[in-house]
Amino acid sequence: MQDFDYWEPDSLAEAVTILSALKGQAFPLAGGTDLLPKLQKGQVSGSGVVNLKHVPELAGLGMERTSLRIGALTTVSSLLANKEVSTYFPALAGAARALGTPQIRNLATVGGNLCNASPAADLAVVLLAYEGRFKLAGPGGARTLAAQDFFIGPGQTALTQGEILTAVEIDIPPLHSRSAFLKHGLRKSHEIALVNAAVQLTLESGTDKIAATRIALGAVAPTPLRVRTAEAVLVGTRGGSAAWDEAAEKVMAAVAPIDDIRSTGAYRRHIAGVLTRRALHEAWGEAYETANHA
Amino acid sequence: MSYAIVGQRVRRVDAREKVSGRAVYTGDLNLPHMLVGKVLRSPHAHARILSIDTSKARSLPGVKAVLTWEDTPKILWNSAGFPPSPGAVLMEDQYILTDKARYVGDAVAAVAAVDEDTAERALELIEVEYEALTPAMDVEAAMAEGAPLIHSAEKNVAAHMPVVIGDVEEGFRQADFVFEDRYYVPKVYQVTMEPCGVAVAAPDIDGRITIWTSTQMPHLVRGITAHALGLKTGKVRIIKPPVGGAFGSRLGVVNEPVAALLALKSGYPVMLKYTREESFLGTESRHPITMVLKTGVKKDGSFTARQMTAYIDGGAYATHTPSFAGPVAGWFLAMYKCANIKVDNYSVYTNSTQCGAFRGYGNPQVVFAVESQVDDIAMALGLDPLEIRRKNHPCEGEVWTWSGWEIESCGLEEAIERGAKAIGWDTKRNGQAVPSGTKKRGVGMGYMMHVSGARPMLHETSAAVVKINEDGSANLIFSNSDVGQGSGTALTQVAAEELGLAYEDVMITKTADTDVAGFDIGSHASRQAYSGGNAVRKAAAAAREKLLTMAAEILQVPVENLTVENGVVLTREGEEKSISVAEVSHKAHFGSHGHQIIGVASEEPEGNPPVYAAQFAEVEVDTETGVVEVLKVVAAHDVGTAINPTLVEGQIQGALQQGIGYALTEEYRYDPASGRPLNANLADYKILTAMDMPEVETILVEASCRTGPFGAKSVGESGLVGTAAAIANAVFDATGIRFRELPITPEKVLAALRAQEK
Ligand SMILES: Cc1cc2nc3c(=O)[nH]c(=O)nc-3n(C[C@H](O)[C@H](O)[C@H](O)COP(=O)(O)OP(=O)(O)OC[C@H]3O[C@@H](n4cnc5c(N)ncnc54)[C@H](O)[C@@H]3O)c2cc1C
Repeated sequence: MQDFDYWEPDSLAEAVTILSALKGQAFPLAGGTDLLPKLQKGQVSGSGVVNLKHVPELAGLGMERTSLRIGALTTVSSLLANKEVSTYFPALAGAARALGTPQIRNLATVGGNLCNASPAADLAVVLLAYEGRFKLAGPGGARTLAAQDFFIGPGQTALTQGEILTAVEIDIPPLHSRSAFLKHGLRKSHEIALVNAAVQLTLESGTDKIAATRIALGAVAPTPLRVRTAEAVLVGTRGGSAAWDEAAEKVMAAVAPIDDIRSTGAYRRHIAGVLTRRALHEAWGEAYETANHA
Repeated sequence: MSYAIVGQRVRRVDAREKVSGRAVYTGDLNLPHMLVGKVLRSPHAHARILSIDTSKARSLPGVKAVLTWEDTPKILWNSAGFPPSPGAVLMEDQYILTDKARYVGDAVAAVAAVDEDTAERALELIEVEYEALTPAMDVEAAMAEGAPLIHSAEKNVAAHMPVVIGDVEEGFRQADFVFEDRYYVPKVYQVTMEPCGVAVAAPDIDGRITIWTSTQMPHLVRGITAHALGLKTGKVRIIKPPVGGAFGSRLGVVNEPVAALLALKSGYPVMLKYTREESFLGTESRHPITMVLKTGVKKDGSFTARQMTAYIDGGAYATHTPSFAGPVAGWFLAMYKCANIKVDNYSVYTNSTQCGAFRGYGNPQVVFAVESQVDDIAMALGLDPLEIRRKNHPCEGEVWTWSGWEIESCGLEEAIERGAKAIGWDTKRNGQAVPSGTKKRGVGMGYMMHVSGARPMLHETSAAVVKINEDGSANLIFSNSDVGQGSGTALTQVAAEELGLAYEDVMITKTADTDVAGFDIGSHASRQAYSGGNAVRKAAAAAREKLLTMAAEILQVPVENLTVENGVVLTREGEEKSISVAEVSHKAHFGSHGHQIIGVASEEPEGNPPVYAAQFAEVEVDTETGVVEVLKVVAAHDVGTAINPTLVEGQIQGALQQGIGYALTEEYRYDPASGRPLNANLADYKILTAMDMPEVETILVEASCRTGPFGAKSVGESGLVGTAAAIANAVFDATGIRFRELPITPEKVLAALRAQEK
C-alpha cells in the first residue's frame, strides 16, 4: 500500500479547506469500503486521505417537514433501521437491504455510495427515482444539484475540486404512490448488481389510473439512468401487463449496457426489461391498494 | 450396536478455541527476528525469462534475501502429496522458482525483508526481461497441431492412460441403443476461509529447519520439502497448527519450499503468507475435464458397454494430474456393473495454474457426466431414473471395480428410498409440481459412491500412540491433520470408546508435529475416520489390554473377566470387584512395575469400503431471467457408523454449498488469448453465501462395515459428489433441457429456453 498523509477535520469548513488546498491530490474517506480496496490495489493514487467521519454537518438522518434529509455519513444499516425510510421510501429500504453484506452495511455510507459513482450503485438508482436533491459544499460555498445532474460517468461526478457531498434530500412521495426496487445478480447477497431498477407509481385517488411514474435503472449505462420515454407511455394508462411490456420495450431501447466478466450486454438489456416489468407490477399492486382502500 | 461415546454428538475438541477466536493459526505466529517473504509472479501466461536483474532489490535497506531460479537447488520435484505407491505417478517438472513462466502467477523470484512494505518494494525493483510465447489455455489449444510446448511433452500430453475391461466394441454390438454425449466441467476453486499458502520457516543452528504450515499432510510435506531443498527428510520438521479449511488445496506442498529456501538463505525465520488473490493465482484447484461418454444399453436398462474418453486440463505443472487420472478412471469403472468398460484418459498441460486436489478428487466431474447420461437413458427407455440405478449399481458382496475387492456394506437402496420420499419424488416429477407464473419446477437425483481411504492405489500408513497418565486420563498422540472437518474429535471418540474412558479424559495432540507423532499420510481420500480411526483403535486396544492385565493382577481375577467402562475397571459378572483406571495407572507408574501403560500402533487398514449417497434436488427455473433456484436438497448418505452424527451432517451440509456452487455459479475463468485470470477474487468468483442456501435435509444411513473402527466408513468428500448431477437432472425435469456443461448460468439457461421455443 502506498504512503499517504492523513487528516481528520472536525468541521465542514476545515474539511473543505484541506481538500481544496490539496488540489485533488487527497481523497475524502467515509466508510472506506470503496476507497480502501482501491488504494490497496493501487487503482487510485494520491497523497492524502481526509477522514470525514468527524464532520458533524455530514451526520444525521431525519424528517425536515415533508422531506427526508440523509446526511452523507448515514450508514446503510442505519437506513435499514429507520422507520421513515421503511414507511415512505420502500425502494430505498429495499436497496439498502440488498447492498453488500451485514459487515459492509455497517461501514458503507450513503455519501460514499453516491460519490464513488459506480453505475451499479444500489442507492444511486433509487435516489435518482426519488428525484433526490444533492447538497454540496465547497470552497465556493454551498449548492444543490438534481440527482440526474450529479452522475457524469463511471467514477465521475459533478463534484468540483474540494467539494463535498453533505446530504441528500428526498420528498415524501405524493398520496397513492408506491415505489419498488429490484436487483438482479448471480447470488442473493454480497453481489454487485448485474442490473438494478427503481420505480415509483402514483395513482389518481380512487382510480386505477396512473398519474405519474418514475423509472430508473443501474448498471446498464455509464451512469444510473432515468428512462423518461418509458415513464411517458404509462401516464394516463391503467397499467397492466401490456403497459408494463411497453415500458419495458422503451427501457430496453434506452439502455446501453456493456459486456464484462459479470454478464454480456445483451443479457443485461434483457434483464433491464424484466426488472422494469416486475418492479412496475409490484409497485402497482401496492399503489392500487392505497389508492382504493385507504 | 450402540456405544458409549461413538455415535454421540459430543462437542468438538477445538470448538471453544475456534468460536472464541483464540485458536492460533500459522498466519498468527510471530517469531523473534521474523522476516516477511514475498513472491514475484509472472504477468505472462507463457514466456521465456531472458534475464533477471535483482541488484536494485538487493541493495534496498531491509532486504535480507532475493532469490531467483539461479539460487534454487537444481532438483526437480512434484508438489503432490503422495507416498511412494503403485498409484502415484510423480512426474517431477518444477523448481522452487521457475526458469520459464508457464502461467500468470508462476513464481519467478522471491524476497525476504524486514517488513511487508519493504518486501513489496523489493519486488517492484526486480527487473525481469520476458520473451512472451503463445499461451494454450485449454486442452484443444494445447493438443492442437503446432501448439507451443509448455514442457517437452509431445502435444502437451503429460500422460495417457487407457484402462480396458472386456471388449467395448462387442458390447456396443450387443446393445439395443447406444448413447454418446460430450460433457464439460470447469475449473473451480476451493476458497478456504484461511487463504491457501501460509508457512513460517525457521532454520536452526544445527542445520535443521522447522516449518509451521497450514497443511493437510505434515509427513508427506516434510518429505517433498526436504527433497526440493536437497536435504535429508529428518532435517525438516513440520508443525501443523489449526488450519482454516483445506478441501484438497493443501494436499501436497504449497509454498513451504520457497519459505524454507528464503529462511535458509537469509538465516532468519520467514513468514510467507499468500493474499487471497495470490492463492487464486498460485495454488492448485479442481481440474476442468472434457468427457465423452459412450454407453450401450439393452431395452431393459442393463449396460452392455461403457466408455469414457477424458481430456484432463492439468494446468502448467504435472503435480497431481497423471496420478489423478487413475481415480478418474476408477470412479467411472466402479459406478455401474458392465462386462465391457473402457476408459481413455489424457492428462494435458495448459498455461493455467496447475490443478490438484479438491474434495471428491475427480468424482464430482465424473458423476456429473455419468449421472446426467444415465438420466437421459432412463428417459429414453421409459424407466424410472431410480429403477435404472437400483438395477445397475454394484452392491454388498459384489466386486468393487475400483479396488477389485468385495464390497463390505451398501446402504444405497435405503438411501434412495428414504431420499425419494423426503423430496416427494412420486408427486413432484414430470410436471406434477404446480408452476407459478413464469417459473417451472422440477425434481432430479444423482447417485454416487466414494472411498474411505486410498488403498490399493496408495500406501496408507497411519500411526497412533495412546498413553494413560497417572491420573487416569489419556493422551492420544497422532499426526492430527484435522483441517476443520472434525477428524480430531472423531479420533478422540474412537480412543475413548476403546479405552473405556470418558470423552473429556482423552486428549489428542491438536497440533501435529513430525518430530512427535508417527507417520501418517494425512487428511485426504476421506481417510481419517477409517484409516486413522483403525490405527487409533488398535493403539487404544493395546493400552487397554495392558491396563486390564495389570488390573487383573491387582484384583486377583482372570483378565478375561474384566472390562472397563467410564474410567473404572470392573468384573463382568457384577460390581463385586472394581478399581479405577486412575488407581491402576498410578500403581503402574509408581508401584513395583515402574512403567507407564502405553499402546502403540502403526499400520495400513485392511480395506477401503465404499460409501454411497443418493442426492435429490428440487429446483425452480425462472423462464424470464434464466435463474435456477434450488428450493431443497435431500442428501441421503451411507457413511457406515456415524462416529459423531453432528460432524457428519456438518460435512454434508458444507459440501452441498460447494456442490450447488459447482452446479450453478462457480467457474474460474481465464482470458483465452492472454491467459490472464478474469475472476481471481471473491467479488467475481461466485461462491454461494448463507443466503443462497436452500432447505437441506440430511439422511444418515449407517451400513456399518466389518473393517472400519466401530463400523465407520467415511463422509469427508462425498457430500458434493452427486449434487451437480442432481441439480442438472432437476433442471431437465423442469424444462426438458439437458445441460452438459457446468455451471448452469442464467445466461445459458435463457439462451436454451429461447432455442427451445423455436
Ligand atoms: C464486499 C463489498 C460488497 C459491496 N456490495 C455493494 C453492493 O451490493 N451495492 C453497492 O452499491 N455497493 C456495494 N459495495 C460498494 C461500497 O460498499 C458502497 O458503494 C458504499 O456505500 C461506499 O461507501 P463508503 O462510505 O464505504 O465509501 P468510501 O469508500 O469511504 O468512499 C467512496 C468514494 O466516495 C468518496 N466520498 C465518500 N464520501 C464523500 C463525501 N461525503 N463527499 C465527497 N466524496 C465522498 C471517497 O473519496 C471515495 O472516492 C460493496 C463493497 C464491498 C467491499
